[in-house]
Amino acid sequence: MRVYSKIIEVKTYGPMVLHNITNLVRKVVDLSNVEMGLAWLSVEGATPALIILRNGEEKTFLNSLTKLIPFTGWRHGNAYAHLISTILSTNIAIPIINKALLINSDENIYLLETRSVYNHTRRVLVQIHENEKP
Amino acid sequence: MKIKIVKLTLRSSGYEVQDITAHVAQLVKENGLENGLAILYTNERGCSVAEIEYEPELLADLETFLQKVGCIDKNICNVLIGKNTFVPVVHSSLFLGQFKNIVFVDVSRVDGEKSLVIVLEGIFKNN
Repeated sequence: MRVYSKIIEVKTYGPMVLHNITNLVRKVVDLSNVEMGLAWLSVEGATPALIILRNGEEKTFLNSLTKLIPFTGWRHGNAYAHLISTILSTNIAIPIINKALLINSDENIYLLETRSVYNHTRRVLVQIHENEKP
Repeated sequence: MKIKIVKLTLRSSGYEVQDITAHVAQLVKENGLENGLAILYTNERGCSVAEIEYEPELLADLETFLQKVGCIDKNICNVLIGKNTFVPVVHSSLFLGQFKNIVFVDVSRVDGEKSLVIVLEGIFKNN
């Protein structure tokens, strides 16, 4: 088995802003030269989230999410950010088939910055697994 | 592909959240996983595996949220939180960041020994 790992640094701002990281992830897949495998994505920290969304769904998604988990009414200072991160997850696994990520052409991979920050650096690990080439 | 499967048994009151980060980190080191993944899964009824900062007020907020959603009484919170998660391992360390912990959530209201399975996958020392 071969494991190829690369950390992507993303400058974020928020709160509740989606950052499109699809092309950054695609570049890592290209660099890995993996034909058939699996890309495991994970963002560091206890408040961001990784999601796949279809174009045009961004606003609806964020509105629904803030209705489900509102900003206020919690004990812990930024609980809403932690709860969103836990419920949505900080991880995604995407298969690689014929050197390309298996996501639809009208979908993107987003890093959700939940916190009220500006020019914050988030580290996303892209780990690609493939069988040893014969 | 190299895979090692380890079982972790915990003692649970049946209604609690346990921080299992140190257990997972220890298993990664003991088994010599250098680069790869730790995939955690529980098949215990009413139990979940998740990632969250292990802080009492935040855990109380999580409980409030789960009560509001209505999943605790119906014992279906594992559908929302998930019965599995994965943590990348880079240079034998868990890729989590400063505040994120791996937790075992039990809202089954049944006390006793609870188990979860940890699948270690990737490049091991002396592979």
